[in-house]
Amino acid sequence: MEEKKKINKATLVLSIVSGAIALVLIASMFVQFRTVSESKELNIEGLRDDELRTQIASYKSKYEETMEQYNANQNTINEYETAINENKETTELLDEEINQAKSLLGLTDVKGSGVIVTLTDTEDALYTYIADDLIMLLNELKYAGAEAISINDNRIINLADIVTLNDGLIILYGDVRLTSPYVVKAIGDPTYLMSTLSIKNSGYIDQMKANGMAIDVKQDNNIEIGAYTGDLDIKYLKEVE
Amino acid sequence: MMIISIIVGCILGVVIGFITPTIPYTVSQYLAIAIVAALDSVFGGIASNIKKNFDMKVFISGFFVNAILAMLLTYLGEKLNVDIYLAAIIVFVGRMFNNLGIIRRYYLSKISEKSKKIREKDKK
Repeated sequence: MEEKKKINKATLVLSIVSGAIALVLIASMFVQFRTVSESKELNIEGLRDDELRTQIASYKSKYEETMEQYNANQNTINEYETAINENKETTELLDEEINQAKSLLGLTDVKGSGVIVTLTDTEDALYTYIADDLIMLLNELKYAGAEAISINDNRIINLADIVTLNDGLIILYGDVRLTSPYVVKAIGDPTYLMSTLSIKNSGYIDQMKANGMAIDVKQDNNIEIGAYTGDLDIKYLKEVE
Repeated sequence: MMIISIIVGCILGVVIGFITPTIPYTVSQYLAIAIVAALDSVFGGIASNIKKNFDMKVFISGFFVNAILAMLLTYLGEKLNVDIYLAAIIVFVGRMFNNLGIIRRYYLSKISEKSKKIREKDKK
């Protein structure tokens, strides 16, 4: 009985010790396994030379690949950018052209330096102003380089017509009646306009004055001329291709 | 009883090994050498048990002191820039193979004895 107990005690101690040792050993082994498997990918310092070499090689090829892709992307970006810039430039040019064409056509409000000619019917005059006088004035102004002209704040465009009806009414654009005083504004080089109008004897001013008409011409550096407000229908005109 | 406690210890060890956080890589080489030393002690214990000269004190002290000594040697080797842990590994693994050989031979002879007895019984 005594001996059996002793043996039991000895086996108990032995089994506890061996269990504890197995526990410590297995636990530390598994910690080590996990550490190694985790640090394999992360820790470059712990790698061997050949592993490092292969890793460097793979990284290098990866880097080169990425660089190539990056360059290709950069090139496409550059292409797009130049295309955008070109588009912008052409758009700007087109816009400018359109604006120029519009202002020349008379479709925009414009301002600038020029002259203001005021024609007034008076009783001293040989006759009252007729359309031909205005047409002649317009012609003179255009000849002198006027870029925008208006009569009584009606913009004169290239299709403008001025006629005298039988009873002496002056009609612009077929339905706008013009009456004295006729205020003609013209934007252009003021001195040029002025000198063209005031040529001695053959100039417009002298011609009118010879007929006893009242005419007043003055320079102005800030003339504003409004846009043509009527319709611009094209019925018969076709572009030649 | 011993086998049960060993199995329980193994299972608990696996659980603990997965629960505890991983150690830094520089420390892990010390743990590795300690594990090799401990394995060597375990096999040595089994072999001495077979040879009937197993001593608990020797076994436990060998288990821990060998592991600690191996770690210290590794540390020293790192300071000296000599891979001393290689020597430790060679010694431990060599002894492990020795002890494994002893265990193997013991069980082989046991098996052959058994088969001999069976044959003798058959002859009778």
